[in-house]
Amino acid sequence: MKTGGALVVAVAVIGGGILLAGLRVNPYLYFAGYVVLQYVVIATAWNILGGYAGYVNFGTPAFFALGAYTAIFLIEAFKAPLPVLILAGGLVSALLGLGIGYLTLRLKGVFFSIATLALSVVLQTLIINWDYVGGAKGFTLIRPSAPFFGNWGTLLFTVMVGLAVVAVLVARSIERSWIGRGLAALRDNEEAAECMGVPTLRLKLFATTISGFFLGVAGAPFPYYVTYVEPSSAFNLDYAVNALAMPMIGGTTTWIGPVIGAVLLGTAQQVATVTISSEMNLLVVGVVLVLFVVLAPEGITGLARRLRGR
Amino acid sequence: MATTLLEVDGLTRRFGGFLALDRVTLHVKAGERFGLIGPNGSGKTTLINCVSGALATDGGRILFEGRDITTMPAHQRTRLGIVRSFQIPKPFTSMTVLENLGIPLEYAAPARSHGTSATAEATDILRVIGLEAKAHLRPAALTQIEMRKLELARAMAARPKLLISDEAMAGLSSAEVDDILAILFRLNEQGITIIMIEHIMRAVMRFSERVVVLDAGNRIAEGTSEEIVRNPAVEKAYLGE
Repeated sequence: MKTGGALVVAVAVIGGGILLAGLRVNPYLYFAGYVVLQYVVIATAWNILGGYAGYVNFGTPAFFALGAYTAIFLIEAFKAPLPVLILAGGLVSALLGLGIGYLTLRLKGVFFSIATLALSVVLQTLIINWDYVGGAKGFTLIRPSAPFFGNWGTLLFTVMVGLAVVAVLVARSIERSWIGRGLAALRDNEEAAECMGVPTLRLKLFATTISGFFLGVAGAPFPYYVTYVEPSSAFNLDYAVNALAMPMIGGTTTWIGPVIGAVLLGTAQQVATVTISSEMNLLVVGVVLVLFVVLAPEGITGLARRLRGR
Repeated sequence: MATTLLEVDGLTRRFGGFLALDRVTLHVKAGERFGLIGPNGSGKTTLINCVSGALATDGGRILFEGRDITTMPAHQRTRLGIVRSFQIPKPFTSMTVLENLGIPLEYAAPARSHGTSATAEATDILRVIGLEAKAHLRPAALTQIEMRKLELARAMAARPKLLISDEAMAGLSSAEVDDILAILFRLNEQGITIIMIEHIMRAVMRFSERVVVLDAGNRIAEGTSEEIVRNPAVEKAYLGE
């Protein structure tokens, strides 16, 4: 599929999203759809670093929550509108991404992962003790009336459709560019990549920054979505688990993998939450992840490739 | 007299309290076949890690074509034309053999716009090296000698001026050693300067015009192959007294 074709599909998806929003079906569907789409953004963003560059980030909650809390800060301070929140949330998380990029100079493999997990804990502690954004009590947002569609559920759903499309398009163009090939080389062997002329540090910083940006973007609309944000919900470990599990299940080497993983797992979790119990949804992730790691370590896309005999 | 391509001047490198390289000086001339030998742990690989940029130095200077590259990142040195192969092959495992060559062609080979006709060039290199039939296989499907050849092919794709071959022949059979040697001779004829680090004396003595011997981080001898073989200090370093 050429870039032109991809753009047509992207526009079609956004158009479909707006159409869906206009249909005004059961409001819960928009609510659930938002979560699935949010995971498309998260899984895609995570995969730019974890899948393309091979640096496994356990600190997804830190980036997501930083996006959310940047939004809260801007709402408190300036009553900033949603587009500003999304952009600012992304930029602040991108800065954090750039910071952890420099960690990769010294930390590889599991040590990098542990450091990102620790980062999440540190940041959560800071937020708990920062009263301006609600501290441990949490922050309650009183939403103004929604500018389009008349309600926030459908509006946020539509916004998330757009964000997911943008994130996927960016991931896809990175994957197919010289940057993507360089990242693949450093994922396979960082030392050899550097010796073959790949500017590994610069590419890693690029990956951590872009990945951080979209994780922040995913978190920025969160206060509008839930209207009540507390540190334990924004820094929920579910985000770390899902961000890793979804690309692993879908396949980490291509842009479509995280999308497949997020849609499948995200939907399964929503169904499990409604039909069984809200606690069951992580169990679904766990079981599916174990099955995939054992039976199809290259995910669904890898499995498909193997079945096609390539 | 040929010009000096690589100049290593008083190079020192420590690992904690261990002095791996002690003020090592050596000059490699353009177009030369240069041998670097020494017992295990004498500092050969440390030396080329410093030259290729994988390790920082603790003292001394490295000049390439008269330019000070002592603190230059490794990938920039590669673009200047210093390319190494690894003792233990380090292929890009998720890529095919052809794609492995695409990385240096895209990133290192000078004056090349991204992506253009790289495939044709990679195919050419594979033909020269004798890996053409394996172009679309993953490295995991290669034999040991093919893996070494891939390592050399990938280094060639970076269009080196100076190729550092770090034990490219260790563990290969006699016929396979000749195979690799023939490739290196051919590269040298094309004007590529080669530093060969090798334990297989038959190979390194036949190949090198000039040999430098390292022992415990010190340069203990330099000369032609014949001179080195007769050098008592070298004999002592290898065999003891």
